[in-house]
Amino acid sequence: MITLSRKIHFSSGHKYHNPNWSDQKNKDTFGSSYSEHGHGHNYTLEAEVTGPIDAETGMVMNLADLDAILTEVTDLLDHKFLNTDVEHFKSNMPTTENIVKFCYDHIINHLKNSPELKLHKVRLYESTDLWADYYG
Amino acid sequence: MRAQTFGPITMANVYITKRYSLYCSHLIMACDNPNEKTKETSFHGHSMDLLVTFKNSIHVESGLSLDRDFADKVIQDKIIRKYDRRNLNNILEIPTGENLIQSIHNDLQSTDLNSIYFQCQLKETNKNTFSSEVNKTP
Repeated sequence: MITLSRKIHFSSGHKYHNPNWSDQKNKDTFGSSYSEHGHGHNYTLEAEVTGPIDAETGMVMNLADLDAILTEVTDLLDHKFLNTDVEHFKSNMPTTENIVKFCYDHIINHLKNSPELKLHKVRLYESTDLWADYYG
Repeated sequence: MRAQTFGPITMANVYITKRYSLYCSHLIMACDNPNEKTKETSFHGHSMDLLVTFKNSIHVESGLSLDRDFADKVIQDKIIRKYDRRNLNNILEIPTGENLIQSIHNDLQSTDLNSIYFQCQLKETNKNTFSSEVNKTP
């Protein structure tokens, strides 16, 4: 079995703010990540797919196919204000944790018809100093 | 962890890794011949990356699995302050990368982060990385 990984970049804005909480509780919870106007990041999404090498193509998965899946996911997020522009994040805080899980769920849904492939891990870099891994 | 008190959690486990910098000097004596001169037996230093990984469930109301500010404060107080811009020979008997990551691993296990601490890695240079023992597989 071989694992391949592919990266894609996107940029989004978000705000760490729970409208059901007081301003003080939001500040206490989100600390330096909290600001009234929100903020943004250049994200890097990386998917790792594990599978056997196909005898005819020599590939685990055609990277163009994986690119298409990743692009479909990131098109939902790229240059959006996640809290209001993306339906899922109207009811889920758009933290790095929830975004990586959102991406994982989308990618694995596309791989359902390829039982020989396993989505090993999805990693989301918020910056070079912080990233999240989700294994499902 | 403050974030753990904010309400129900999801079943999803997420691994958050934070990167910190350590600038340290050291001199490593050849064990079999203390008078031997090599690159390592000259006093030198490294700009190192310390990667600390936490494993935790996502809290529904905050969307967080890690209180970033709290983690930064603990690691600043317990790790950075102890090792950064220090001569490691004054801290460790044999200040190799292996012993340094083991020492940091032990220090992290004694902090308030221990319940969600998963692993630490030390990138001494672009060519060598040391990882602490992983007790729990992803």
